[in-house]
Amino acid sequence: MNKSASQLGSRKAGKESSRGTPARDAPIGNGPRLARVRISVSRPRLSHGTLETRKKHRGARRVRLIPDARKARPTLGTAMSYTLKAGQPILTKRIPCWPFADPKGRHVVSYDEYVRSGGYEGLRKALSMKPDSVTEEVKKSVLRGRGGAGFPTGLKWTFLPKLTTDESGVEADPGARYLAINADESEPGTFKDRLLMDFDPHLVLEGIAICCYACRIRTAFIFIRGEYHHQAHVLETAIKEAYENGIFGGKGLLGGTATGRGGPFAVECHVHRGAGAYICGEETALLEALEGKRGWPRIKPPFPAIKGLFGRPTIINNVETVAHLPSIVEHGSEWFTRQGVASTFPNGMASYGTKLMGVSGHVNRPGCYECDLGIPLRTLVEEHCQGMRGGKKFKGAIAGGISMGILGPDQYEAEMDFDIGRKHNVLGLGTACPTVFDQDTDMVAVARNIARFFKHESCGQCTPCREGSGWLYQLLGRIEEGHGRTKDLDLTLEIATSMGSMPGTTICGLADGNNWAVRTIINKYRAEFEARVRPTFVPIRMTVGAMAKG
Amino acid sequence: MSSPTPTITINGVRRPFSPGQTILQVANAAGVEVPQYCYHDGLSVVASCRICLCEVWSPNPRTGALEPFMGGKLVPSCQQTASDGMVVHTDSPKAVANQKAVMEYLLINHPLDCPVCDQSGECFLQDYSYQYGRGVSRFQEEKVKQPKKDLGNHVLLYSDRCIMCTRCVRFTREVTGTGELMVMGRGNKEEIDVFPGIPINNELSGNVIDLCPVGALLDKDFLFQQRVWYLKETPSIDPITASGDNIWIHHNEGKIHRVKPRENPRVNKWWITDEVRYGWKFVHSADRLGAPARKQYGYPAQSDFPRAYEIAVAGLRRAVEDGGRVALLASPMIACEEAYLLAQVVREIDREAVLAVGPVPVKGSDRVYPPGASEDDPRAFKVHAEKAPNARGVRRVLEALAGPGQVLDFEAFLRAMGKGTGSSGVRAALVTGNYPSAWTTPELLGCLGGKFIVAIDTLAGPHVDAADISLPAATFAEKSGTFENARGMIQSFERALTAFEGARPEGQIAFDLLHLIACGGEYERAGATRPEVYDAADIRSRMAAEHETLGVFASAVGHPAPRPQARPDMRLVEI
Amino acid sequence: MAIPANQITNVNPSPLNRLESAYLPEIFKGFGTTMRHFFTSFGQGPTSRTMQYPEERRENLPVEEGGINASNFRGVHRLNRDEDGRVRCVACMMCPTICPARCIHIEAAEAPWDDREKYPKKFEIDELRCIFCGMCEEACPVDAIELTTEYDIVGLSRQEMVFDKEKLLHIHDLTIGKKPM
Repeated sequence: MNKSASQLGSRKAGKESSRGTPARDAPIGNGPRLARVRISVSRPRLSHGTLETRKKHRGARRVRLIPDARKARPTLGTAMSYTLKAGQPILTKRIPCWPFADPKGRHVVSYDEYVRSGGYEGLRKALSMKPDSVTEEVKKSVLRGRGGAGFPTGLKWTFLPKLTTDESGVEADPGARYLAINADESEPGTFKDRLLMDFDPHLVLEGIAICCYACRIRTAFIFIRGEYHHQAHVLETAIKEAYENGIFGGKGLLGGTATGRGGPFAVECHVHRGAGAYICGEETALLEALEGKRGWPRIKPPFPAIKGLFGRPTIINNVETVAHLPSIVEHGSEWFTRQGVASTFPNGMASYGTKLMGVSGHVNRPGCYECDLGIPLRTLVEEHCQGMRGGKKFKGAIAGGISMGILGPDQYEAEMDFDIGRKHNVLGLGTACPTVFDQDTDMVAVARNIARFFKHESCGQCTPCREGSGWLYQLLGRIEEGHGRTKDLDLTLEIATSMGSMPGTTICGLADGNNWAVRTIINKYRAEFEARVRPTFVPIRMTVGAMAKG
Repeated sequence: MSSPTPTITINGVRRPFSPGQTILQVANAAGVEVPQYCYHDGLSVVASCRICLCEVWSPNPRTGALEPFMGGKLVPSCQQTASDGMVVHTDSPKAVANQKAVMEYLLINHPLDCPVCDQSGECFLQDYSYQYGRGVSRFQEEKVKQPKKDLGNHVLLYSDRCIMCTRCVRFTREVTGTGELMVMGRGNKEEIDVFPGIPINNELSGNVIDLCPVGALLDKDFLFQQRVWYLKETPSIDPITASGDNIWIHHNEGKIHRVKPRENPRVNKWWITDEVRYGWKFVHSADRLGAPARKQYGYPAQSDFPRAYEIAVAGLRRAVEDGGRVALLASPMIACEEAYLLAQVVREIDREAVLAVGPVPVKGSDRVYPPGASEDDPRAFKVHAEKAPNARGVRRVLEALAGPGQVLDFEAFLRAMGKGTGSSGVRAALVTGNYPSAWTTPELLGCLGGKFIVAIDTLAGPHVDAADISLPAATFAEKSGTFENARGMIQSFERALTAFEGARPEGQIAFDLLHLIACGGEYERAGATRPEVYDAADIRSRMAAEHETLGVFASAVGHPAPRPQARPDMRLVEI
Repeated sequence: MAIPANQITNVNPSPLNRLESAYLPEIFKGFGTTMRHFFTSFGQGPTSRTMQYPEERRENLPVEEGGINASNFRGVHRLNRDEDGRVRCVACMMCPTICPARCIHIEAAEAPWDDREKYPKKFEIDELRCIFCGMCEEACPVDAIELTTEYDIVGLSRQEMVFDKEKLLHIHDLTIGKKPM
């Protein structure tokens, strides 16, 4: 695998040729556009030092899932080849992002700036509507949860216990209900919510306010992962601003604006910092953690919408999901469904809207991009990320967060929408933050590294996950070191099947994610694994039967 | 469609159930074996061991056709409530594959130290790996090694062996409400621990040892004492407190090795206090009386039963002939039947004998667990401050004989014996003890002076030395009988051991004395007659027949439930 | 399980004549064998079956000639030592459990060593009760108890024949050369 010295010399030639390759196998529809990009965007100049670093990485066992920050910053393309269907970014309206603006100009959007640029208009409009019509609007928009599972948000809201109304049309008091915002973004390779919380916290807060109003929730908690110190601080500052400006607080939303429900509606909002466990991103574990207990997922049923935080009905939404709400309410569901794509399956649920996609790995310009759902992975990598790093060949990509499985070399054209799971044999779209691997990546090490992550993050409640994840890691470690045998490979696959993929074997989906990741990697790169293991010889004895004797 | 009583079908057999029961509860009640680690009737459900998963089909509410429940997922039977018409398979290929997988996972980090583990023989992991596991291990990697920890006065933790069922953690949170135990760490490095400096020393701490399905939590007291397959178990009743906790006595070769709680939802649920658990030690005390003794030249001298009995009967009779009264101090530690027979003995000699109940020790005040729970809460566990098992039963029996209000308590007995006044009509007394520790008070000793005293006791003490005749009695483990607990429940217990050396149950001593009295006080006149043999059940029916007020002893005695028949663990193979 | 008729062969021996019914030749033939042994077994004659114990011992003889097979002979027990010279036994009580003669008595205690939980504080085998069935050896999970080739154990009292831990370990030291673990 070591081709450092000779390649160094023939760097230029190699670059030329590899540049040519993608164009040849580019999809027919995207061909011309791709060509234009490549001409217009200037390539990053790779310094000698960078090459050295890369060489080191290639030799090292560990696979880096984090983009190399030291890379030369590419400049903004002169001609923008790719536009969103909405014409302009929605979630990243106030956050400069490639390919629309240079991220150099990013700054925390303050309350004043947010309002100046049309903020809190969605909330104002929502408050003028009846709560149920807000829910109905969200339901019609088919906004699917951006946290990974893609469950329709509007539908989730309707699972809350129905409220009775008396003769005069006044709703009964719903009692304590809670909104928990899942900002525990711990999936390796995923950094989309961070962008929102980092620079546009009021967008999130506005979404929270709308959700609370629609679901008649008076208390919202933002559960933010422990490692997001800065983001928690930004959010807290923003919440303070929001309280000062009457968005939240005892007077009612938007300073006590009369609502379509009748009278003002007050919401309290709190930030709760986690202690840094991946499992707390699981919704019921998140609730346990919010209650101050150990983050162990709960058994379902009862579902959180019936009995959640502190035993009360609770809605749990992702940061990005609620960030979509202001624009949906403001522009209407019909506007929202114009973006993204419909499902290609009959009666399949559509993937409307835009999505933040954080691309990392071996690409030239890793980062967070806002794209319409349904964008092919190739477009995302070749256009937004300006191609594979060093012009190398695409080998695979983790679909979206490592628990979703891997897209193989033949799945470069995969469209990033919620149908991806059924189409390309991965668990699902996940967070839509692909980690891209180039041809030099050691997939055995990738599998081992992923197994290590899950072993470390398994909460230890269910037996199969607690014990299986450790075993899987040890087995993959042995295979990586070259001490494995073919029967170990079979055993690895068996564990990766029995540990959680048999539905219901564990309480939450962590084991399932572990399985999907490891199983899809082994299945899609089986040859690479087989090259590492020594064969197991099964002794075969020819038995001459009793008949032959007699 | 729906039958009057809802039924579910488990492994092909229909079982009725009451709404709200989980599948596992129905299966357990019906005797269908479903493997289970983390589930316990007395604790909340966490469904974390995942071995009880089963395949469930349920009828479609519209069409009535059977459909895979929850989309064909395996369902934790401990958590899923049963619904009418469900069809449950715990032996389908899918369920069995899961059982096998879970067993394999549990065993990969479990040390192979069954030979030195105290739990082996009653270990769920052993049983299930025999029944549901695979014969060989495919795990070649290093096992996770974890330390041995001292958790408290009675509890030792071998973290290695723990399977993280968290039963113990839930116990300390839900039953005792003290929450000493916790889960530390994550994944396969996770372990049970206590907070540094706060050991598990609550009153019920020993129960975590019983709860542990494997050998992770062990009893320091029982550590390495016996292999459990040597132990024989006998149902019994807590002999030292008024709560009447149901217990199992585990004994071998005439020695008690440990006491375990016996499930009784109406009394002690699944638990016992540490006091009861380790309260059997006096049975094997070095101070046990092993032979009768009589006073000779002012000092006790070893004697034999016939001689001691003759002197006792003669002494008691002489007291009556001298115009004095005979008194009986029936200890609240003896069984109801024995109190009845002893009262008969004194009443045989003196029709108007003084009957009294011995001192009832009280320590502290009553406590309810979890703290703050109501006593009537079905999950609450009450610890009684009264440290005598049968104060009510003895009084009930004596009152039936002497009439209500005629039975003295200990204070009144002392006064009747001449405390303070120095003069008393009582000339002789039969004093019983059987307390787990020394109980004689100076007042009692003072009162006993100058009278003819027959002491029937288990442990040596000043009043035994002072007695004219002392007879060795048998402890609760060495006899059968009934105790009435603080709630007025009469419960019977059985004999576990043969009596220590020459000791005899008080009931037998009473029969012997009655026999001798009937023979006129001399064995020479006994001829071929023999004393009756003490049999608690027999006396209970006699008591009920002779006294209307003692009818409860025929109708309302709680007997130990028969142990469910264990399935043979090897099937007979037809050859 | 009746025997089928076609498998039954009727044997009709011819009746003995007068000389044969006197059995004289057979009697003389038998006496001949007796006398041959009588004359050839003097001292260590070729037909002598007497073993000159203790000068001659069974373990020195080949198996075909009445010697013992050291690998499976079941003689007196020994308690094996581990590499550090400690008793290997972990006091798991498997041998007293399996013992049909109930001749093994163990008292367990917490081991004084760090690498082990449990060890036998007391280990006694009543060699007089033992029936040398070898079940203890089979049951032992740590190969601590083994039967050796020693069979000539003697004692002057019953108490002396109850072998304690020290004695059983001493047997290990004596026999380890002859019969490795």
